[in-house]
Amino acid sequence: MIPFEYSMGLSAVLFGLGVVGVLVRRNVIVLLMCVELMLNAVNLAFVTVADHLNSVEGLLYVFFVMTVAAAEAAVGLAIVVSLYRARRAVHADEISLLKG
Amino acid sequence: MTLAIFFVFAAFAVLGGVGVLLARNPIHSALSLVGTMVSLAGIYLLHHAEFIFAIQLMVYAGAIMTLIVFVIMLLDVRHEETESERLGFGKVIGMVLAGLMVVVLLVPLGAGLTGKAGGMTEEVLARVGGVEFLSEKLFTTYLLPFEIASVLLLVGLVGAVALAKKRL
Repeated sequence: MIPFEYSMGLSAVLFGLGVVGVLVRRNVIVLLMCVELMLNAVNLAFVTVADHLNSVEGLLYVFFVMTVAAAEAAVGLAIVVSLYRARRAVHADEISLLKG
Repeated sequence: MTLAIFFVFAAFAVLGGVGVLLARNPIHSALSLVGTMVSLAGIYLLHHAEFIFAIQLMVYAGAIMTLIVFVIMLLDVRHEETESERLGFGKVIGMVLAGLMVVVLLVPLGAGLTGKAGGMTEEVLARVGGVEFLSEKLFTTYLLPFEIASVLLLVGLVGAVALAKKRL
């Protein structure tokens, strides 16, 4: 069995990479991909703990996280497409409609 | 042996994550992310989560990444690199803070794992198998969340069509 610390460490590192991506990159599609990376890291943490506690609930949480991720990706990319159509913008800096 | 396979998958997952960050072309980011997701699927298998392994490959590496690659190609974002991608002071601060967050996430691991053990023990797995046990829970105890998830997917579908359509 894989030690608990290794998998959770990998999960933390991947989550950190996702956070850095959201902070550093400016392309909206890459930002969405970094959010997916963070969701994957959290899924890994759920699976690890589920394995070590013999718990099926952790796996069910992963199932629901994936459902939310799929819905989020679909809606997020639809927003990206409609933004590109309206303003030719894919960079987060150029999209400031909600700024007062 | 299992540990060696784990380290190979973990190395590929981290490499893919770094690739998502560093790739100039969004398509390369997407391909790196597929690599990460496939590596994570392998790690799920090492953690005895066969069902999650399968839906990770089908839903994440298959469906969601196809959608992302589709949109990248649809939008034709070639002029990715502008001066806004340069590493400014604020971004360095953000990276330092993200690194600190990883450290904060790693510190509690030293305390070990606490929590109540669940019902998916070795004998249950030998008797019914992981997927059957999981689906039994999903369709009995967790039926309401399951139905809500299906409604969520429907709302996501309708929302995506409503947002992306030129005129309704």
